[in-house]
Amino acid sequence: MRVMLCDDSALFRRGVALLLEGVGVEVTGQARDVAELMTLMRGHLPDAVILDIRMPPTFTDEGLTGAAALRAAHPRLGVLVLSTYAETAYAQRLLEIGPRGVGYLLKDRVDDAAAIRDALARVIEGEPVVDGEIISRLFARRKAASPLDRLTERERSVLTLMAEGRSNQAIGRRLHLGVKTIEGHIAAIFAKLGLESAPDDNRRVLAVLAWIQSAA
Amino acid sequence: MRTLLIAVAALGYGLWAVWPDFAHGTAAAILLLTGQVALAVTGGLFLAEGRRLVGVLFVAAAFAELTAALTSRPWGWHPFVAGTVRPVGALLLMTVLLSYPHRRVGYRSFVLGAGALVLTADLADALTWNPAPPGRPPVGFAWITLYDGGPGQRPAYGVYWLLVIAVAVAALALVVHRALTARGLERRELVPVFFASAVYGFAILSRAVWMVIPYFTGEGDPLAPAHVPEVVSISAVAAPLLIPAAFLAAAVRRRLDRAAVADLVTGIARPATVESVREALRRALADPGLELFTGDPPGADGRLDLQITGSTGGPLAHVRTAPELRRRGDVVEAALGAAALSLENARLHSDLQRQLRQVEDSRARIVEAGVAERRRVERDLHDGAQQRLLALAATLGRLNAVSGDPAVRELVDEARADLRTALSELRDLARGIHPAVLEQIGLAAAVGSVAEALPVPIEIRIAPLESGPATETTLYFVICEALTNAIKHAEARRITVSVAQEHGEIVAAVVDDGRGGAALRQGGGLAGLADRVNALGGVLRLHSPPQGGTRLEARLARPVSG
Repeated sequence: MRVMLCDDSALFRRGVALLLEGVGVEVTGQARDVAELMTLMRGHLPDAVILDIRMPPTFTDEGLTGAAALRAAHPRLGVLVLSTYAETAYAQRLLEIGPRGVGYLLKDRVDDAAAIRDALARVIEGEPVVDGEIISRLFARRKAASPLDRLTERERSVLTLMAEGRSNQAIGRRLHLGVKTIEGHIAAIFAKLGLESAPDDNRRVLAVLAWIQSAA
Repeated sequence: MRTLLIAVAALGYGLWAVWPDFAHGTAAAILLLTGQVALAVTGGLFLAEGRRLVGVLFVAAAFAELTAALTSRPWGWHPFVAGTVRPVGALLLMTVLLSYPHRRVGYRSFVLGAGALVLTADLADALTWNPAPPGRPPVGFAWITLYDGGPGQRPAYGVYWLLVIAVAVAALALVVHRALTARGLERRELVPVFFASAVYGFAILSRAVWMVIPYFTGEGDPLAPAHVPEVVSISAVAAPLLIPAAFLAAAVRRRLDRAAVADLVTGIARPATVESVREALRRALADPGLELFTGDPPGADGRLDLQITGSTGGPLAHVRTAPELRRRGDVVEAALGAAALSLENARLHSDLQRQLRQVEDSRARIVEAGVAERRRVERDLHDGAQQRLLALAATLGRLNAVSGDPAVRELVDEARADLRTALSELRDLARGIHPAVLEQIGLAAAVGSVAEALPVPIEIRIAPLESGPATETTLYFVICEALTNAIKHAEARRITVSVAQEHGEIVAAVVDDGRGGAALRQGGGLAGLADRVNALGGVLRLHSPPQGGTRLEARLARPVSG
């Protein structure tokens, strides 16, 4: 897994690079803004990029506009945005660019190397990844009559972790449940959201999208 | 009192003079008496007002005309006296009509020359003619009876009436000239006088034309001119009635002009401007060419130059107006006084407006500077402490990944949990200082983002705004504070947030169904926000009856940019 980092804080770049290398992710380039990243990418295209949102020159939403430009230029590139802001509006904007192969995680998650690695793996696979914080906000906000209302508390937790890009094993570990049980919950979620007939990979994506759309 | 005496004297004398005609109920006699008494009263009123020339001339003219009416007594000295004073009344009235409103005789040489010629001819005719019918002995005063036949045999008679015609035509021409050259207030005041003068002059002229006919035909009796059509002789005695009426109208007009000055003060648009004051002066002084200069006036141009002085004695402006207004000092002075008030008001008003605008601008700038400063602090937090803590988080993540020791992992987990709390608190702190996302996602999304973290359903209706960051940030904080209060203190179960632009005004309202009873406390969060809203030219209103829910409303008068 080859990844490039784009963040204007050298301190943070260095921390994340060391973290990723510790879990077997190869960091092939570091840039302080999107323009520099584009230049680096001309030589060796990585599997995924990690982007900050607030970067030079205007320190506003360069990461999001950069994500759109990168997706347009490289449709198969995984784009993981690591943001300081737990803003659903940002996450939604990013998913509108994707939704496949984009991820929105809070920077706070860098204390969990495995979580970052999993999320990178997911976006490279073409799945969406959304931070749990954002998801719980969306749950609070979603409209009244939604198929999500029929999900049990446990199923919601599973769906949230799924959206964060966790594998079934990771979800099981997190909830202290067996993989079989998790698979059962996921099947129930797909059934309640009317997604039984779709191919397995797509269903995960569609399930996450289903409630993001119902919440938006 | 004097006027009453004059009126009684004129009435008594007139009754006596016209009595023989009056007893027969002649309309002409009644008209003559009424007209001349009215003239005498007008004269009396002018005397009471201190206008000696006009007053004396009017009274004298009235008595002269009444004396001329002694033709009603064709015996003794009466015909001679009546014949002699025949032109005096008309000459005196002509003098008044050509002079008024000046205090000196106008067209002096014409008036004196014409008067002398007419009187000489008149006297010559009166002295050389025997008014008794032909063949009868001469009457009373006719000392030198050269002629006792019809008018055709009296050269002085013809000369006299021809002279009267010439003078009447000339006087009419002068009246027309005056009417055409009069300006402004004077013109407005004198229009009835000019009209009456013209009618009077024309009546004299028509009678003279009819009177001169016997000189050429030799027919008729000059003392009882039966050949003169009744309409002409009636007009000649009725015309003087117009004159008091005309002067009454002029007096009313003059009062109205003075009253119009009072309207000047109230009639000037608020706030007054130089233009509105100039227009009001033009109206009040009836001079459409009047000019108002607030700076130095241009060089003299023959017009009246007046200075408007302020209450401190300093010059406020100069006025250039028609020179005839010199005579209407009372009206002009009052008008300038009113104009001075208005101009001074206008100046104070604009000074005040400017100062108010400066204060408002500086308050808005302070708020904007505050917003900019908060933005800088937020960015420092974001770039500094936050990045350092995040790097620490990454280090903890590495430590967790490399350490196989469960005790170490447990400690690392503890540290990670603390760090996440710290980061979350730092994020909230930074957002409370300056909501950086506001500029990116707009007020609606930023408020939505706050609302979604709250445990109460919140309806949000926020229209797109045309406003600057200071306004938007202030509204954001007002809404956040209202939401916090609604949940924490009012225990609201439903909250509605709306922001809309109405007639160029931004109205933001947060309404809840909670306990109510909230107040803007000194030093409270809302009070601080009220100050910021005020500084941006707006108001913050709180309506919160006990048990009646709370409505907090911010109105920002104008979108502040920058």
